[in-house]
Amino acid sequence: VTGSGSLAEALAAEHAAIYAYGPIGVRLDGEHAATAREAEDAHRHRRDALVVLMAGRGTDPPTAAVTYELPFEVTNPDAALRLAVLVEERVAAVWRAALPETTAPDREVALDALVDAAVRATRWRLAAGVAPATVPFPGAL
Amino acid sequence: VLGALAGATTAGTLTGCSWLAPVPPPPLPPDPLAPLLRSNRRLTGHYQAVLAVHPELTDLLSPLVAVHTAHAAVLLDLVRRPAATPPAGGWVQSPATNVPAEAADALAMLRAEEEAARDEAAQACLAAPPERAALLGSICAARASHVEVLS
Repeated sequence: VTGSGSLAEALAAEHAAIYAYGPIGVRLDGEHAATAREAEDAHRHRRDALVVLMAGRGTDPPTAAVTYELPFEVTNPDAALRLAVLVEERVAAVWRAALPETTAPDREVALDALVDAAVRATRWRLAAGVAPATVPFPGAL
Repeated sequence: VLGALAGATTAGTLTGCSWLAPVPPPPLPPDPLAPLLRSNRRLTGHYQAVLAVHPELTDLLSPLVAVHTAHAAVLLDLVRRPAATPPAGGWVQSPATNVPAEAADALAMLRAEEEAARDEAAQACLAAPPERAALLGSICAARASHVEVLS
């Protein structure tokens, strides 16, 4: 069970992540493009599950914005990798913030999402050659 | 008069134990975070053991050790119970840790330990009161990220 708001915020973050993977995927190829596709699929699955969960409880799930302002232009693979790291860090932060607001079974949903986002952020830092590739407290911005 | 009374009380305390055994205060229940701190220390010890045998892994493993050290500081701060005081001989495990001679096998050993540590932190997060849930979620996510680095 969840306090009002935190699942809605998580859903909004998932919408934004799905949007961001559009320009990210365009600038990557090979193995990195495949990783971006998997990541985007994971965010879509999470979004769909959240929409079902919220609708089942009679809460109106927030819809995606038509467009989002990216924090910087994605004109090359380096920028795409940097944005991918940022997207996963932001998603991790939103799910981490949901943890204290949730109890079973929702907390497990939030924890799974935080862990997945943190692992993907690590994967993208490795791809971008960012060192260190890990942070002590994922999601704590 | 008061001084005499106080003296009598002290004398009574000193001699009274011959027929009434003093009851020690009950030990504090172990903090639920104590096992997490123990696995943190064990893991750090195993990283150090691997590094002693495979110094060529320093660049890869040092950042992971630093993360565990940061976790230990926060956990120790939260636990602050007698159970968290270092055992005689220190936290680091005895050199009985068998470090595989092949670096790849040593990394696989650490990866398996991080997987178990990740699952342990997940259980702790799910069972935690709200004020600890975010921290434990981050520790779980960090351990999961280590599995990714070691894969």
